[in-house]
This record gives sequence, structure tokens and C-alpha cells, in this order.
Amino acid sequence: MSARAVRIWYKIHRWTSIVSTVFLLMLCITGLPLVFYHDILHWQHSALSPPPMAEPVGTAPLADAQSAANALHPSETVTFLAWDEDDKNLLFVGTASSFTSPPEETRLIAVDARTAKVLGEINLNEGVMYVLRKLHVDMFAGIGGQLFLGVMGLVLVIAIVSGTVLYAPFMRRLDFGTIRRDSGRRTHWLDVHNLLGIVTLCWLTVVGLTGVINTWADPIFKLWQFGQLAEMISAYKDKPAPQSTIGIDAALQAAVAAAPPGKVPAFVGPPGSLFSGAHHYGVFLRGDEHVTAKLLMPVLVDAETGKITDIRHMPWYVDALFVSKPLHFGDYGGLPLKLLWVVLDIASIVVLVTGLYLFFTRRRQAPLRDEAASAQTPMLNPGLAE
Amino acid sequence: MTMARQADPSPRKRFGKVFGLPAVIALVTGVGLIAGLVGDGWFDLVAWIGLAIPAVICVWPLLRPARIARRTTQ
Repeated sequence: MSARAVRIWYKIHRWTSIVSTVFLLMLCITGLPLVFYHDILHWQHSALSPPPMAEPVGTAPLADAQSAANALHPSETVTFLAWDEDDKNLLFVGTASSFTSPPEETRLIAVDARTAKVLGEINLNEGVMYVLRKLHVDMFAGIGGQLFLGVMGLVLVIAIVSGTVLYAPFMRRLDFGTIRRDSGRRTHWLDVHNLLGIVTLCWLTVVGLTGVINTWADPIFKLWQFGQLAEMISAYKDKPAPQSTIGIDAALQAAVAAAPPGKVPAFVGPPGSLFSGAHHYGVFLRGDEHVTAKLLMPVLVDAETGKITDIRHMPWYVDALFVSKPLHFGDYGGLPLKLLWVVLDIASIVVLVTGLYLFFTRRRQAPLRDEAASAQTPMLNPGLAE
Repeated sequence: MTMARQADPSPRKRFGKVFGLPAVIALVTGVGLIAGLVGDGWFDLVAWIGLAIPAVICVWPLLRPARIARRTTQ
């Protein structure tokens, strides 16, 4: 690599880092406790878990669970019913003033699926974890903040690529993992920055890019709603809303019967919901195996006749979102994976902080690019002229 | 100083020397990330090992000063 090329890559690395470091530090720090978000929620709401029962009992009709939850807030509408991913006896019923209410205004009511007894209401919009999650997702700035953080994620990827390119001239004459301790503080932290940066390369790229995809969740849902969903229910576009509907249980049964074997229900959107349109129950099934458990299959059941209108796989962009969630959160390999996520997250924080240190000390000593590019200091100059 | 100038090997060899281990680590991390998604049990074990390798190397610089300090006090 020519000295000129190194200078250009160095500039790219410096400017992308300047732009994104503050936000990435915030994301890494708030992300640390968020690795355990679900564990903390379960612990905070341990009283809401369905109690163990001496004898196995069947499941109560979904309609009962629906009306039990609705009875808490009779003026509101049930917008969805969802099963807990780990505990099939635990149902979450969402109620809101209308089907178009934003998620923050949707109440989440835990119901025992066996007895249709309300276990309690969960407020996700309060407390430390809410603040951390909001900061991490959109910095309390709505969809704009969310998309902005996505752009920061893309800038991070450029910083990673340029940093990887720069790794070569800096490491040319050093063995992998060398941390020099006798050449001054700056050299020491430069070595730490280079080592941790190159070691976390793959992990941080994956977590960064999947984070970016997560910031597109809202547009992706809209794309699906106006794309595949609109297509599936297009025949009903001009029909009046159904006069009477089959029950939610009949719709669920019809959907499960029509689906390929091995599918379990993930959630149901009643007629009128954003997930199903005015004339259908939207029954969303998932696989019960590891990867397929993350992917949903929409089954649209005609709310009047109980016939299946359509059943499909989600389009690739929705699947990409569903797969990128676990890859970002690190919640798919038990506690050991979460702990490794924490270690790699802390390593990334060290990369960011040492990067800041290298940036702020660059004027007092030789600029970083000279450390790599000048021929006068052979130890720091890994022989760039080729 | 142990960092004496060495004779320049061929560019390919040099590339391998600089990026060889990082490429292996990145590959192992990638395999781990995907293995965890594909299945449970053994797949989870592969995921843990795949991600433990970069994690341990990250902690490596922390462990070394302690060892040096111990050696000098003995």
C-alpha cells in the first residue's frame, strides 16, 4: 500500500469515527444491560408467570382470554394476542384505544392460557430498562432518531472497513497480538486498539449491520402491510366490514389445520388489526425448531366464513428482519452466549475509548498517519513504500 | 529492541502474516454466530466456542500485566 493510500484510509477512518463514536459509545453502554432485557423483565414480573399446576390442564378458549383482558379496559380494543416464546401457557393480550394506536399506547396484559385468568398488566414504558431501551432504539426521538442511529451503524461499518485496511501497515512488522509496553502510552493504547479492533471485527460488523436492519423495522412492516398483506386481501378491498365473525378460536383452528405440520401459533391479529385488515383474522404461525421459530407464516382466515383466504411465507425482507433480531441481541444461545456478548461489547467500548484517546493525543505527538507512513521511524513504520 | 527490521518477504506472505490469524478469528466468530441460529445442543456449543475465542483474545491484554507484575515481585 502506498503512503498516499494509507493517508486516505486514515482520513476515512478518522472522520467516520469522529462522526459516530459518541453514538456508538451510547449504544454499546446501553446495550450492555439490554443483553439481559428479557431476563430482567421476567425477574421484574415473576409474579405474572403462570403458576405450576398439579395436573396438566388443557387450554382455555382464546375468546375467554381475550374478554378477560378486555374486561380490564372495556373501552379499549384488543389489538393482538401473542404467546410467550418460552412458556406456551403465557398469553399476552394487547389492548389500545384503537388498532392504529402506537406501541407505547398499547397495554400488555398477561393471561394464563390454561385458565384465561388475568395474571396482571405489564408496563414496558417505565423504569430504568425503558429508558435504556428507548435511548438504544431511538434516543427518545421517534422514527427519526431510530433511522439516524441506523445511519450511524452504516458509518460504523465504514470505520470498521477502513480500520481493517489500516491494520496492515501498522502490524506489518509486529506479531499478532503484540502489545508494546515500553514505547510510551500512546503506542500501548494503539496496540490495544488494533488488537481488540481486529479481533471483534466479525462480531461488531454483524451486530452493527443487524442493528441497522432493526432500525428499519417500521418501514419493513409498512412495506409488508402495503405489499404482501395488501396483495393477500386485495379481493376484499371494496367489501363492507363483516357483519358477524366466527370466533377467534375457530379462526386459530382453521389456520393451524391449513398450515404445514410443525407450526405453532405466535400471535393472532383480530379483524381490523394492522396485521390482518378488516375482513380477516391474521394468524401468525412460527416453526418450533430453532431458526424457524424466528420466522413467521401469516395465515389469513376470512372472519365471516372461516375459510382460509391465503397462507404464505413472509417475504425475504421480513425474514431478514426476524433473523437479524437474535443476531443483534445475542439471545439465541442461552446464558453463555449472552455473557460472551457482554465481553465482546466491552471490548468494543475499549476500541471506541482507545480510538478517542488516539484522536485527542494526535497533536501532542506525531499525527497517527505519520506513525504509519513516515520512513524515519522504522519501528512504527511498517514499510509502506512498495 | 526486538523490533529490528526484517528482510521483506513477498507481499502475499506479508498479507498472510498480518491477516492470517485475524481471518481465522473472523471465520470462527462467523461460524459461531450462525451455528447458534441453526440449532440447539451441539450447535450452541459450537456457538459458545466460536465466540469464546475472540472474547478470550480480547481479555488477553488484561491478563498479561498481572503476570509480569507477579514475576517482578517474586
